[in-house]
Amino acid sequence: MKVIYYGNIATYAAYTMAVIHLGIYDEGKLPCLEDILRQWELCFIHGLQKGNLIYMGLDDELREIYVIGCGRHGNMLEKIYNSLNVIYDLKEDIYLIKADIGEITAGFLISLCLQFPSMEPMIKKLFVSVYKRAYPLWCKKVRGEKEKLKKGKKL
Amino acid sequence: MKLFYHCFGGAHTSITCAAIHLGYLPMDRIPNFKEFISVPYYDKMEDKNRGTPLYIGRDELGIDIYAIGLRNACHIMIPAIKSYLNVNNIPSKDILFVESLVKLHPITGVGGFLSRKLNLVSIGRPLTIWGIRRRYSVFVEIVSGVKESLLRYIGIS
Repeated sequence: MKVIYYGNIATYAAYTMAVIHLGIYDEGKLPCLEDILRQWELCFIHGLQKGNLIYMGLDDELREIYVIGCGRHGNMLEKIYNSLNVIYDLKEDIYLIKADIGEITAGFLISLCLQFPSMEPMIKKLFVSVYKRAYPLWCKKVRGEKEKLKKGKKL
Repeated sequence: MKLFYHCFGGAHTSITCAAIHLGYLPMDRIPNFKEFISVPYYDKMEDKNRGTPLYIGRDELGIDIYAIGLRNACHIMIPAIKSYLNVNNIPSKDILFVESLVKLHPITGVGGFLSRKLNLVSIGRPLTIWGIRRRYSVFVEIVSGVKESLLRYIGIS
């Protein structure tokens, strides 16, 4: 089974939720500042790259976890992927999870930094604070989705 | 091999190109209103189903022809489709995309908006046909170019 986390950009909420899903980040504990800043770099460098399905790893039940950034076209992506499964007769199930929590703020901060590079230190601090606020919400959503997957709902 | 004609809504220009490709619409003359209306799926794609590929038929080379609406996100969706096929071990050369929104007549755009978005089919549909008839030669050119390339491609492979 393929589990795909999709968001406006692949490197923020979708990436973090996939990492939580895989157990690389602890659910109850915030990642260290170094990891958050590394993710800032990731967002800053690769945030604008959209449409690439990126393999993240296998979870505890051997489901393949992917992330993708698709702008505001998540619903269309779901339809396309489900249709491709039918067209190519792909037997493997896919499960798409919308990862949009906190994306608007992150997108704003990234574009702000692109416009005003001199403000980067301040924007970085804001990013960390927004990230810390969003993290418990991501954990909650991942937990819920994992439970749904276990129960076999929404396959 | 599968060929996707894509446009904004997947209701007019992509369907027209697919219909020309499959011979539902003529290449040597401009079809009349009734001929357009009788094309399968013409002005039928609903806004909520946008992104769902429509199978239109199989051409003489054995290529499956589809029409799809990708809004203004083809630069995101085409790589997304190709990377999805890639992770499923399907070679990306098995799928071709042809943009059919080039040189769209503004009246077609207005008609499409009225018909598909506002559900004013009786006003919008004739307008889309009027606009497409005006630019019909462009669509014929696209399709003949595609067919020539396919013949060359299949001949080489």
